[in-house]
Amino acid sequence: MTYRVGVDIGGTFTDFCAFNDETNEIHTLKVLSAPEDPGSEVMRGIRELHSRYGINAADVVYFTHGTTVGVNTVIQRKGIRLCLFVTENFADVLEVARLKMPNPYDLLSTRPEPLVDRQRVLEIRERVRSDGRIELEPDENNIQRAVKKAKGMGAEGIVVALINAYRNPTNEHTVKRLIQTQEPDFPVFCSADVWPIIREYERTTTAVVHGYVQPRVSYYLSSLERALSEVGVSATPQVTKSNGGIMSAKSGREDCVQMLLSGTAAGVIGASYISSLSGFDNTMSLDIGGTSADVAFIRDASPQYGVGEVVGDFPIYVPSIAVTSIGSGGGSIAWVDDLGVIRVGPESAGSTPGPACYGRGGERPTTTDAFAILGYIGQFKIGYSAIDVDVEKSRSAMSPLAKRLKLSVEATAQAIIDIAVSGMYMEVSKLISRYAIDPREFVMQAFGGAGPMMGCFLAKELGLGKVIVPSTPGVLSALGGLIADIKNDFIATVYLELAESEISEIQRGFINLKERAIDWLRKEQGYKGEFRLIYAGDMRYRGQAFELETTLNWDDIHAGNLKDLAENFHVEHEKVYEHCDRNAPVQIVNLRLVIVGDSPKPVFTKQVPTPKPAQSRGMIDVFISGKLEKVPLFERESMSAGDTLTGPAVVAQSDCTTCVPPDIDGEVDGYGNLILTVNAA
Amino acid sequence: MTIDPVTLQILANHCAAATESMAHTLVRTAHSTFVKETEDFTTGLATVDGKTFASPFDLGATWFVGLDYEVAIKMIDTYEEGDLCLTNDPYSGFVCTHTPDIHLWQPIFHQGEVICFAVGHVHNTDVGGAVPASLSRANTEIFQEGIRIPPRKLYKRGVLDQELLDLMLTNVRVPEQNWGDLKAQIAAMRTGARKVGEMIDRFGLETFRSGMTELLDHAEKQARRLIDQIPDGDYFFADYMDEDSVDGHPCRLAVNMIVKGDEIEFDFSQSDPQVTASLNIPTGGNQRHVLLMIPLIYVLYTMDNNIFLNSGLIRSSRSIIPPGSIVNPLFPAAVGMRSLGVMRLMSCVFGAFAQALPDLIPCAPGDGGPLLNVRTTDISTGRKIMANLDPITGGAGGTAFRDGTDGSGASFGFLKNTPVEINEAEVPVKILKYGLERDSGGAGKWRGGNGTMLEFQTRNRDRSHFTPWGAKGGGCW
Repeated sequence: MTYRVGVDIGGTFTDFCAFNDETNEIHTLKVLSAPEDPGSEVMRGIRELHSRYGINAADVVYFTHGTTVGVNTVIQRKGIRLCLFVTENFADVLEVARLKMPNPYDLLSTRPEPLVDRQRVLEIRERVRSDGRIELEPDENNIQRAVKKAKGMGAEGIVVALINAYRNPTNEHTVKRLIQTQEPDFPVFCSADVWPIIREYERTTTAVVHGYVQPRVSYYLSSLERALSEVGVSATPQVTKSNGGIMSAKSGREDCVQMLLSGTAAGVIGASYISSLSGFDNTMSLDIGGTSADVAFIRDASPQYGVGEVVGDFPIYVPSIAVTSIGSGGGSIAWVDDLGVIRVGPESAGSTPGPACYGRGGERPTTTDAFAILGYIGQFKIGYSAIDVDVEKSRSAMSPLAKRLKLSVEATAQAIIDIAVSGMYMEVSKLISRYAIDPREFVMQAFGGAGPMMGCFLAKELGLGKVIVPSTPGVLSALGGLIADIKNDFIATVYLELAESEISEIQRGFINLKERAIDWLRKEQGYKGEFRLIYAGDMRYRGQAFELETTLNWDDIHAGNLKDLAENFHVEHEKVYEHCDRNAPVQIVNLRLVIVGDSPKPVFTKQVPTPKPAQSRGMIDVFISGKLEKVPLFERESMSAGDTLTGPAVVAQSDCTTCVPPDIDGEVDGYGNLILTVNAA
Repeated sequence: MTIDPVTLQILANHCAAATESMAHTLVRTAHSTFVKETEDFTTGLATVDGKTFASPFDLGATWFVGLDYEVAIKMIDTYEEGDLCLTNDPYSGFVCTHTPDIHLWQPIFHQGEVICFAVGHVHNTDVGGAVPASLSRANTEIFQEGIRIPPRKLYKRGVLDQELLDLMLTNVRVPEQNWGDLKAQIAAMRTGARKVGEMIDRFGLETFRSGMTELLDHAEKQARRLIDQIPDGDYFFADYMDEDSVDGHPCRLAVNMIVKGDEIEFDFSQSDPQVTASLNIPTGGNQRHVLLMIPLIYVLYTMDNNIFLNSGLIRSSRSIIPPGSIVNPLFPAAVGMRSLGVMRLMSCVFGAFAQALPDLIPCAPGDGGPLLNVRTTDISTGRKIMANLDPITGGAGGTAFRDGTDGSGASFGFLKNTPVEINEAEVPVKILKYGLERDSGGAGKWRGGNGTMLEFQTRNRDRSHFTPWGAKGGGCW
């Protein structure tokens, strides 16, 4: 018997997904996270997998793992004390950022404090020009003095980020060598090695976030590797990445900036895969946890990618699956403003103290409490009995609000849900128009602890016809890790005209990226199977101030087929901006290459659905549109392919609750996914 | 019909979503960098009386919350389905505040009746006139600031008025760009109309209709509650622009702010008469013109980030603006650079508020903002290049509890800089230094934010293409 195990460490819970290679069964598990002792929860989970499901550590042949250690280090500002070495006369790069204020209407708005204080930014005499020419080499004495100064300030590591290093990293490397001649054990991070993009603020802040968390993440991963091997897990641990792929934990120790947003990305990969299995290629993934709702759009079975995703207060510019985080979740606190209007969020009760009904000291009413008061949750055990829901605590937290509003506690609860849902509607609408999405062509995949609870209500507002609740909605990120492929991104900034005179440089650039990519996959990852290469360019019309990533064909690059290369861009421009200009000169700013080595996927057995009404476990009292109604309660674990139900209904399972409002029908498909269909009005 | 507070909040979310969708449609389809990079545009929804009740928060210019379309709307006698109107005349309708801003409004019908209007503007790169981009401080009358179109229908019952369009495009420097941006604006208007249709379906006509007024009423209540917290009194402040014209005299903006209960009166009577340069602020005598009220909106928002941003906020306040003054100039005074006047007006009104709310209101921001343009020749390609290097900006004023933010102040917190590496890669310049000018922020326990500074080197335009000749194989290139 062999197993693949995916683990995702979140703020509140650590999720496990164990896949039996022979029976194709999936076992899931949640344990409380241990932020003060990261890694211990993984060990606890491994032990529990044994005691609960009889899974031996030695039988784990594949192990993937996502962690929030890096993100938490940034949010809690517990990274190492860094010094930043920059080109002389450009020391304010972090303070000035891109000037723009976070909240332009607020006279007291201000930019977040940089991770490196201005005093610890030291200027280095050196200069590289924009074409890569070295105008001034770094001077040994100058570096020695700077290192001494850094040591004097208690620096535990140095980030080197020099002007135009994206074009030629030689000076950065020289500075690194000179630092390490003096201080051989000092961690030094060069901006061009972390992620060599043009734009000094973006590259520098990415490198700083990387350097800030790297020693912590690296230490964590080493301890985890050691602990796993001690308990007898034979598999080489893999870590999930922000780009939706995986890499070895060993690579993760060096490339930790690539794994900062891995949990959300793995969730999107899981959602995308499950939707495709069920026959849906256009999916909106909705992952609602305690403090936020993460939304991503998957078109034609592939997620959208973006840069500038935010970690704590800082954008980082490595390729990541574009996930928009909305500050509203199961723990969002409801309050009444001074004119008597109910608001929900942005403040959240988080995991501690959590919603009032969790009985962990929360005293203010949350969205989850509203669902408890209406009867949707709390009438059965949830979350592996990790938490018991106490409806009375919800009611007493809610009653001051109800009194102020002169409404019943139930009506107040309903209002909170309606307002929370409309707030999410507003945020998701923005994304829908930004990405030019027709919601009628998309299905929603609702997961996370609170996704299935709120998904149907939001789908109805947005005009989405279907909501899919996967069989293991509470652990989809962990499952996504098992599905993710080995994947890495490579970039080279070239700034070239798409013209005859420059095509050979473009070709050389891509060949160089390809060599590095194959090296990474074969040597660093030890992967021997088939792989795919995806070529792309960040392109624009000359004079434009922004680029569009355009997928390119190797044959066109190889043949120097300028016309077709440009045509790819015109088509992309037309698609995004609804116009293009085939006569305008085109520039290619960045060359991009993605290498993908397929991971062995778990096999999901498809049952032949036998249509029949699902067996209800009994009737419970739920407030529906202000009236108390008897509503059937279903137990997810005992439902099988072909089972049907009609809303209103409540579907409970060990890691979450699905609320099915009226006018929605449900059916379990061959893969165990609950497909909820909104009836046309 | 009154709406319960829950429905009102939900409707507010839907209205905001509608205007955000309009803005995204505009950004996606617009051509000019003014839209895509500096976000100098607005989208919104206005009542039949032209009061904007919804605007996007994340996108667009921040100076036009609550812009009043009433006069402009009423200059058109009848509206039919498929009509779309525009104006860019600062002297008719008083919705447009300088000629490059082309404002559009489209009546949104339901069962044959106008329910509300989709509204918005785009700052066009050029609308003709004496100088490229149509704006110069040296302009002395509106006739130099490009073509002016009074409120007219661009579309009548869905049919484009080609003659009006031709007339307009004949008078501008880059017609395809104007037309491209206009098309994007029209697409945004259609998005607005569709979204309103969806809201009427969702909430019912009557709820939506009363909702519009109640959103305004609610914002008014919010504003009154906040103003009530400001101590009653007369607060006087004056501030100056360095010059009223090129090499001219200082120009004074003065306000006597009278706070009484939940109302405020801004008396600008002691401000200077209108000036020869194009710094005048065209308000058309509207006591609640948004350019006069924007500092109030900033202050209210700073007091409470949860207020609804709509024109209800300014109902409880009014201003006194003598005709012929810089805050109420008479035709044909030039108004192109009114943004400089507005910045100083903001600083002046903040000065009055700072006396009333000394713990909340920061000191005056550095303002400024010369945009550094470089015109040179790229010797490697021979192409002539005109590029905007960076805005040079002052910092925010010091506050009662911390230093002011560096390099970005109250009046242009939306502005972005250009990276050094982008400048060097695209423009034949070498940036010698970019950052903050130390100790430029003004001293104090809590100092003001430092201004930004830029040092650069570029080649002389002459002898850059045809370089000086050398001898025996030497030379310069």
